[in-house]
Amino acid sequence: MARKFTDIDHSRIDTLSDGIFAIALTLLGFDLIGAIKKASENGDLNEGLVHEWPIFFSFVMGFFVLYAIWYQYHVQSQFAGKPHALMVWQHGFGFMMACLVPAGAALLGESINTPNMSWAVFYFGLLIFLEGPVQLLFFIAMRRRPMTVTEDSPFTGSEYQKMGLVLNVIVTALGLISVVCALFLPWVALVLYSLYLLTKVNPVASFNRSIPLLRRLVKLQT
Amino acid sequence: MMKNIPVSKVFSLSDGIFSIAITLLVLDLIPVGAEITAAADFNEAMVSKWPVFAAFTLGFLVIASIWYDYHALGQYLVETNEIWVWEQIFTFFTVTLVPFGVSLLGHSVNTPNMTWPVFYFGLILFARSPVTLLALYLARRKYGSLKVSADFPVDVKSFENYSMIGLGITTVYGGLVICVSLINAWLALILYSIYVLVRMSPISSWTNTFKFIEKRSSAARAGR
Repeated sequence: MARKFTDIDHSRIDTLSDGIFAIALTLLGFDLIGAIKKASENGDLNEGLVHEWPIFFSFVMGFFVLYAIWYQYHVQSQFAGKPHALMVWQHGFGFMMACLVPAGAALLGESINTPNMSWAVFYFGLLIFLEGPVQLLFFIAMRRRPMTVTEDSPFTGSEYQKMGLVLNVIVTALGLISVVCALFLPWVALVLYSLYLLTKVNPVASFNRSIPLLRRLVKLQT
Repeated sequence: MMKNIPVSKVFSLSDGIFSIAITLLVLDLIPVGAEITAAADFNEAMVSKWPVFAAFTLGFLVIASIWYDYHALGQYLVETNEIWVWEQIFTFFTVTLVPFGVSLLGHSVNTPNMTWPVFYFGLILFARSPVTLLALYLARRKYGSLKVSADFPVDVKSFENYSMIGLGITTVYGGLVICVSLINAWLALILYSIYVLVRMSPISSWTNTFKFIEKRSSAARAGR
């Protein structure tokens, strides 16, 4: 018997992720319930609902953010092999951000069109983009501990790590520009966030499109 | 003869419980948004709410490390018995209490009422160790060693022995730290955090422990 404990299966992390994403997505509805209560107190329900539009807008943004993270997570992890502790905690950080999205959406919904909008948009941006620098750190830390991938994976573990480094440098730079922009032009920042999220609508196509660029940058063998 | 429920059934329940508990932690942060937005200085209000954010982070790490530790051993189990099932249920009980403990902590850190919430959070954090220790002892007496898969890397009996020692140490450490919380709540929080950090990589902890034991036993054999 080999005297070594093996790490948990990736399917365990996937199962946890399904629960977390499902609950976080549903928790976004909490703010809407409060908004409907306020709208009902208005003499004209439709006027009341229109008045509460920031809550509905932030619900859509929050839903979009979470769903995009979920989609990208599963696109990337379908080829993941046995994880090690760093990978488990790398996913853990992603889940922490996912759990925080309902709070970020609530902050956004309460502050749009108020003097505090800039900071709320700034923090919402942090929730979207913080994953970039943190994943970058994880990829750097994992340089000595290669990722394992499934046999049908189109890339090797070290190629994924190299691509992860490049992509997260790009996300970090984009995030930095967007969140700094939030402090001066929050509406422009919200547009930038939305544009970034649009690139995640079809992560497979986005990833495939970026392969030629990645090939030049990280010398892919496959 | 009736047999006990499969391990996978307990795992399915655990997946739901862990994911709901970990996500519920955010419920404390949602109302903070409205309070912060209403404040004249957004960032000052945000910074003043740091205990809520710190409690969220600690709670997240606590649940995630219990989940990791739970599945690190659970992946080798092939058979259940009623003592093991109820030990798992107790684990879930403590996990479902974490959002409550976090809420208590988030609202009391840096207030005159900080001592008791830190004490109760400690109870939630460490309650599992003595109960698991007791369950392991009782299960061993009644059913013998744990039923594990063939790829379990070490001798089950010695694993159980060292686990019981580890759980005993954790129980004593937990008991002491919980007592410390009544005297110095900040120090207790630091000691809780150290405990959580130590548990973040259960696989390498076990591998290193068994490597160390193996080294010592071979040295002892060579000495003889």
